[in-house]
Amino acid sequence: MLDARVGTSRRDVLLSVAALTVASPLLGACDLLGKHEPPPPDPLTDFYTATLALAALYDGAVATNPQLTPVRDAHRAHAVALAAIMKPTPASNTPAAAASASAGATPAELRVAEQRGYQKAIEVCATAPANRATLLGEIAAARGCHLEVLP
Amino acid sequence: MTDQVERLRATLAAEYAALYAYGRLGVWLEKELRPVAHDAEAAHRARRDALIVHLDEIKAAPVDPDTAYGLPFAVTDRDTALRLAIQVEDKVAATWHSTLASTAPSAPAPATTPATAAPSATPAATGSAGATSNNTSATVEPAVFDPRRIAQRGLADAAVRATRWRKIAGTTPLTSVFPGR
Repeated sequence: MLDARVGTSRRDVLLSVAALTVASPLLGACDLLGKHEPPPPDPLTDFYTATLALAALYDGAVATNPQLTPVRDAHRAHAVALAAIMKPTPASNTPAAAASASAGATPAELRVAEQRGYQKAIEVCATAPANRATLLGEIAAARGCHLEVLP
Repeated sequence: MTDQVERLRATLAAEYAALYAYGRLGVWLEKELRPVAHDAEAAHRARRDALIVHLDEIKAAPVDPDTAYGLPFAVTDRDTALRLAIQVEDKVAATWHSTLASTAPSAPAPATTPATAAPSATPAATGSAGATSNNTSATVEPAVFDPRRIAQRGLADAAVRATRWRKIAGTTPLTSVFPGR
């Protein structure tokens, strides 16, 4: 009886040591031991932030020129579509985007911003993986069209 | 690669069809708008030629043009001519969009290249308020056929031309959120 209890205890200890040996790296990877390594930002993070800022730039202009509403909404839709393919998924808004929501950009300022946005989209699309190129190409094309309709 | 070749062939066929359509619709446009159509036609011809040369270089037989293309509707006046121009550009944008999905990433470009200039050519027309483009850079084909950059330019330029024709025709919405879809 006693031998059996001792034998069980020894086996339990050995099993526990073995379990810890195996589990420690797994627990570390699961961040249960306090080690925290955030995933690297998605390569589209800067482009996403700039897209939000571009949409925000139109907010003030839309108040005086409602015809710009579809353009502003297109930039917002682009941001949503970008967020859907990014890993990790970005927060829905950023301080940079909020800060740029100015009272009213002039048509000339909108044109400059749209032109820069177009060039950036072309650049990002050119070197993106195939599974992202289509969306980025669509965004570049849309920005080209915006330049065509801006006052 | 085979998939990309098939998509390039489909895009070439769309460029041929666009050239045919512009040949038919231009006569119905007023004098002030004809330069807009001529510029669009020239852009399609340049893309057609680039596609033929590229397909030949990679030993892939290019498609031949049809002897006659069926137009989607009869072109009998200015309105139908403009509607056809819009439809043609939307179709071309869609085929370049499809090609874009099959391309490998390009090497990073120098700071300023033709591929990053503003999309599409500036129409020469000035007599019509709706025909005046806000873009200032002419389309310039890259010296080397880079499928990714050619496809993105093809998509953007066709989408811009479709928008330009919508503006002239007074059609709304002027723009698409995701051109080429």
